[in-house]
Amino acid sequence: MAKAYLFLLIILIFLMQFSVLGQFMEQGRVPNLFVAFTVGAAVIFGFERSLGMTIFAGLLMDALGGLAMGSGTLALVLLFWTINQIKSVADLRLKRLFSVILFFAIVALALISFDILVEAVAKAEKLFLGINATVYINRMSINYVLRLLYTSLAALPIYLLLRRFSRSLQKETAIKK
Amino acid sequence: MFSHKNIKFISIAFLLIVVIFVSVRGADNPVKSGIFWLTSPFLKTFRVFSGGLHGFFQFLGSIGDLKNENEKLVKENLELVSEIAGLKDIKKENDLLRQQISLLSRGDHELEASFIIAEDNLGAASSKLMIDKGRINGIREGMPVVVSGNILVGKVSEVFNDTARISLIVDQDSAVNAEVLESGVKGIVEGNYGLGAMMNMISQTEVIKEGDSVISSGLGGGFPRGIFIGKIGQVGQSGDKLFQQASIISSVDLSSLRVVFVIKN
Repeated sequence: MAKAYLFLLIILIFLMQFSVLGQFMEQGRVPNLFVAFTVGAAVIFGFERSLGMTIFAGLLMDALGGLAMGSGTLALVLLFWTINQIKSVADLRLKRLFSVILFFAIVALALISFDILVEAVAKAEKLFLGINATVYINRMSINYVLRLLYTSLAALPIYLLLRRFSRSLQKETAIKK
Repeated sequence: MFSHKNIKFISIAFLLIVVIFVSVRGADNPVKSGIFWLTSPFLKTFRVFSGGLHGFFQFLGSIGDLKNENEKLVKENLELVSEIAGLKDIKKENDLLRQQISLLSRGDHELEASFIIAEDNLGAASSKLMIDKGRINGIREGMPVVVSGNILVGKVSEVFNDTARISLIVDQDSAVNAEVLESGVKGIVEGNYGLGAMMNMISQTEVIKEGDSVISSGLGGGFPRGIFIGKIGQVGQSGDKLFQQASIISSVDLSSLRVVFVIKN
């Protein structure tokens, strides 16, 4: 059941990202829910258990994004792997103020890294495959700062939901055993 | 050094690179088509519902300004009534002349009304939108997209079975042959990373003024002549000083589009 909820959460993130958020927020300020999800999944489930979810979310993101299928997913998987390499992430628990601030910082850094990775993938595609795909992100703007902030804030409920699903999954596994 | 986790990561990364290679050759079209077929009803429902909600909040916020806005609209209405009277006369003359040179009437575009169901907002600005009409509705790549009043907003850049992707005129890859209505000056309207549009390649000898209207020139095919693009904003020099360039002020708020029309013929 928890797996079904996880699937629904990814679909909901997809719908919110591309259909809803743009209506309420100014251009360039829309948070990236996929990055927020990836950070949450990496912290809660770890690499092995959430790789499939991240790839599924990435492919959904690519379907609507302007780049070739797989480009955003590759950036997301690279990001996912990097977060997992940072061992302190595994010990992160959102119970203290310091942890919350650290979590926000990780999400913000993850978004910056993701944008750099997507730009790099787009440039590589242009160079090696001749695709005229341009990704432009103006990092020196108030819109970008707000985007980082909104993404960090959006990551918190996603993280809490994932934590809840993780507990349900553990219970389900224990019952099966 | 190469743990099980790292080997898994490297294999997935390699697999995704293969997916990208295959995708750029158009093989991802059926996959995307399938995803849109499954999700477009939900995307549309969420879009319409959130649009209504946003409209309601906007309405609540604008109650204070309604009186001023009403006065402004009454004044504008009076001006438009007198303008329409003048235009009716011009229309008669225009119809007569068009009949004489056997030219198709401008109103004869075959339009396909489409809802915006999603937008790609992962970059700095959303310059690509998804509409709920696709190949089965006769939509083809390159068709111009307008909003009410024959105002150009973009063109169809990718077509799927039930949906299509449109690139707005502010998109970096967008280029439209354009003409300044008042002076006949020609140039190319190009997107500026989704943040705005610029009219480039204007000869140094031409004179253009702020506030002049820009229409599609119809040169090079693709876009029919006479579709309104916007008004000239700031005029300046191109980077290499060989041409003039001007910013384009669109009369449409591209970030709040709900319904667009695809010109099919």
